[in-house]
Amino acid sequence: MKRLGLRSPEAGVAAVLVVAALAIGTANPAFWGWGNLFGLLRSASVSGTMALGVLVVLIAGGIDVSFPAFAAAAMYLSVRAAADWGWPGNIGFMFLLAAGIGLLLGLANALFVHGVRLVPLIVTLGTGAVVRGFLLGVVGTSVVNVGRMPPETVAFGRLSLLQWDAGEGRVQLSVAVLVWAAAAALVHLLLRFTVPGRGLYALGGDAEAAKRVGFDVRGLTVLAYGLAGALAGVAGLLHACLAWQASPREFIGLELDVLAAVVLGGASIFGGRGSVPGTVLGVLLLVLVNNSLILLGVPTTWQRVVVGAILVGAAAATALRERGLRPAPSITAPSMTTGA
Amino acid sequence: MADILDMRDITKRFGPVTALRDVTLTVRAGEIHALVGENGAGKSTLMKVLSGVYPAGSYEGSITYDGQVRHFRSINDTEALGIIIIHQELALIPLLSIAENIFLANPPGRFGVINRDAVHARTVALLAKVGLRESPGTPVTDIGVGKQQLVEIAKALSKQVRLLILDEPTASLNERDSAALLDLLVEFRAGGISSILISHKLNEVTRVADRITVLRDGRTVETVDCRIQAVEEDLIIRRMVDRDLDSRFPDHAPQIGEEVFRVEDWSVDHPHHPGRQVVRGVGFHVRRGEIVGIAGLMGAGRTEFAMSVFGRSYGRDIRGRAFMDGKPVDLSTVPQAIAAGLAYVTEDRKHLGLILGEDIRKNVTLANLGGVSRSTVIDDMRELAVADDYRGRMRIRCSSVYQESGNLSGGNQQKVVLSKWLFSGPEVLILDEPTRGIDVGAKYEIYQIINTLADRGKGVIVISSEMPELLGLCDRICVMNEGAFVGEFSRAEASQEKIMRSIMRKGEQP
Ligand SMILES: Nc1ncnc2c1ncn2[C@@H]1O[C@H](COP(=O)(O)OP(=O)(O)OP(=O)(O)O)[C@@H](O)[C@H]1O
Ligand SMILES: [Mg+2]
Repeated sequence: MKRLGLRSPEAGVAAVLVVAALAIGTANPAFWGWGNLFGLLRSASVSGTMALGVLVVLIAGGIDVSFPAFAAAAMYLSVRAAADWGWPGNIGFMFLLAAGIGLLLGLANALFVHGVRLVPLIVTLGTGAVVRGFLLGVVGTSVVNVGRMPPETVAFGRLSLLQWDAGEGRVQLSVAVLVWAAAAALVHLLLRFTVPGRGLYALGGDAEAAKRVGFDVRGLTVLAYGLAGALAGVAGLLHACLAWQASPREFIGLELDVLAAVVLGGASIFGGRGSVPGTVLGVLLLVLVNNSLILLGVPTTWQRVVVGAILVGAAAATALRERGLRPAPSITAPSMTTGA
Repeated sequence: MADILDMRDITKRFGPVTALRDVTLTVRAGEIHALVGENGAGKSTLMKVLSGVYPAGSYEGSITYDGQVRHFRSINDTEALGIIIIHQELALIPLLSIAENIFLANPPGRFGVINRDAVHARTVALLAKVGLRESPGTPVTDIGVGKQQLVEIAKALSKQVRLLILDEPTASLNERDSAALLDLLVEFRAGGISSILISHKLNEVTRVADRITVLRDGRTVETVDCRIQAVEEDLIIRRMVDRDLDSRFPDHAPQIGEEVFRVEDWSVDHPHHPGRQVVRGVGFHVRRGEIVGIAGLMGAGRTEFAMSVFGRSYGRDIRGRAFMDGKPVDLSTVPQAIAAGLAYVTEDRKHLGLILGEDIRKNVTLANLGGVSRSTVIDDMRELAVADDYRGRMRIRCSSVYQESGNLSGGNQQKVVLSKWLFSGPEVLILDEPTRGIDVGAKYEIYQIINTLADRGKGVIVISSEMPELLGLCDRICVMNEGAFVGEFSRAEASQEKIMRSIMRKGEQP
């Protein structure tokens, strides 16, 4: 397949990832321990799941910066429901509830983007702020901590897919990785093999052309933002399960990291391009970078600088790559009122 | 006469694709030099090399301009020396006015403050020179492609042009406008401006060109001097395609059946000016197996009519009734129109036709993904087979169907658009300038495809500004003017003259 060729964006991130891993591993051989690798995967799973939603929105030609607030809302509401009322009482239902809350919020985004035809950045900035404000102002500011966390969430967070005793302690592969992998597989199948998936690429590639071949633009917009919301909800609850606490202030500022990861993975902020493998690699690379910055003792503020630089750099790389493929980026007239 | 330009042994590669191989082109001062060749022969690429779109270093070979070897790094370099290119796809900014477009990069004025009066005055002068009667303040979206072309030329004239490059300038123009544009080139020649003219319309080429260079598969085949020998179109065609073409239009015996599509009292208002009727209560029908042409000048409302029928893609306040096979149908949305069996092949492929960032394969199947999928899951192998099939049938010149469609030559993009709609399996196919920018050989193939579709009982509607095309292809020709049908001719009675007369009778467009 052409897209998986050596010059594809995925191959680029993969190469950088390998080089980064080798460099870090050489500096600190402990890096290669199973415990550490599994730990990285575990910490990548939450933002990785969110990234899949953002990927879908970017491909469809939109952008979403509301998902951290949606994730926090879905997480906090479902955890509070379980903690205060003992409802829905089962971890599967809790995930459904969180996904549902995210989905509803995502639909609100879709409504404004398609129905009112507002610019996605403005819409999602707004809905994100509204949801976060509502959460803190109306629902509450208290952190649900370990003691009050619903037991099923804690139990779920402790589940592992694989585990064995190594010299220095237990090595575990968290169930969170499975959640991420399942979501990734689902989104990959959707994008790669289905008609709506193709529609999302078409919509982001050239909205007018997509309309002209009869794609249901409203349906696709709903799909993109709804899916992003639902995935954010799932990721939010997943985080609570892993962290054994739920705070309504969680995920603030995470949009930068997640967008950086998705763009790093080759998705275009102008729409029409991007893939799940690329996004997964982008997330892993970003987690790796963040982790090593922490290990190196780089202060948080400077970590932000690095992530911000990565976002701009990766976006520039994608843009340059595309320009290389085509001659001058000419601005042509969408001559609706052409001849005849 | 001295050579103003000498391009030697130009080789240009795009990754594994060699678009140009040792191409040589010389242009004399004050001549009109035509560049012809099949779709994908490398004409546009050569001009992009010349104009600095592809900078020195990205190709091999040498360019001597005005007696000096040049290494152009960008368009700015070439424009400074008076080489102005007007690309195949126009590059005007739609919402800006004519004047603003003309003086976009270097408006008259001082200290960064634009002198509006000077802009206005100079625009008026330039528009007069190119014979365009429009107010400088008109937004470019509000004028048709043909006039946009003239704006581009006015823009070129606003710079000190010495070598004007026109990449298929007349592709979207009707004959009258084309003739006016070519006369303009002749006028420029008298003023010492050289032009390079790329065109698939060989009659134009032989009419105005002093010399003609033929490209084939990225190589120079020959440069013929029209002033030494009279050049026949057939000779050029033979050079271009390396085989004989007996006739321009395939023979066709129509088998016309029942009426398949009809509209009645169809009216459309302008999208931005409610109340201004673009299509005025027209009736129209096409029968199975019939090829109906719609002739008319630019702005007559042909495209607007077709697009409004196709799921209200154009206009507002669309009124009228539509029938498929005698039964009323609702064509309010594009999916409904497609479901009813309509397909509309757009004339503006860059914007409404193709997703340029996607490969050929995905573009071909886009309008009929149902045809390559089962319960919404796309079958990759089927899709590949379909795309490969169309690639072969339409002779799309590409490295593979995985090639990005934005990298195809203009004519080959048009073939992809056409493939897409053919694959949607319509009952009624509306083709808006289907052979615009397509070379003679490929045109013949497209005519053949159209005939085959008609033979299979489809209704075909062809909108074209090329009169010979309508006459050679259609069983019936309807003439449109100012939003209404003003004449209708059967194949037997139709002639260029009669059609022109019927167009003129209704008075000319302003
Ligand atoms: N950026 C690119 N990347 C890859 N291939 C390219 C690129 N640009 C052009 N080509 C290839 O180079 C060849 C020549 O293209 P070019 O646009 O010069 O043709 P042309 O003679 O202008 O044809 P047309 O009459 O259809 O406009 C084509 O086969 C095209 O696919
Ligand atoms: Mg070309």
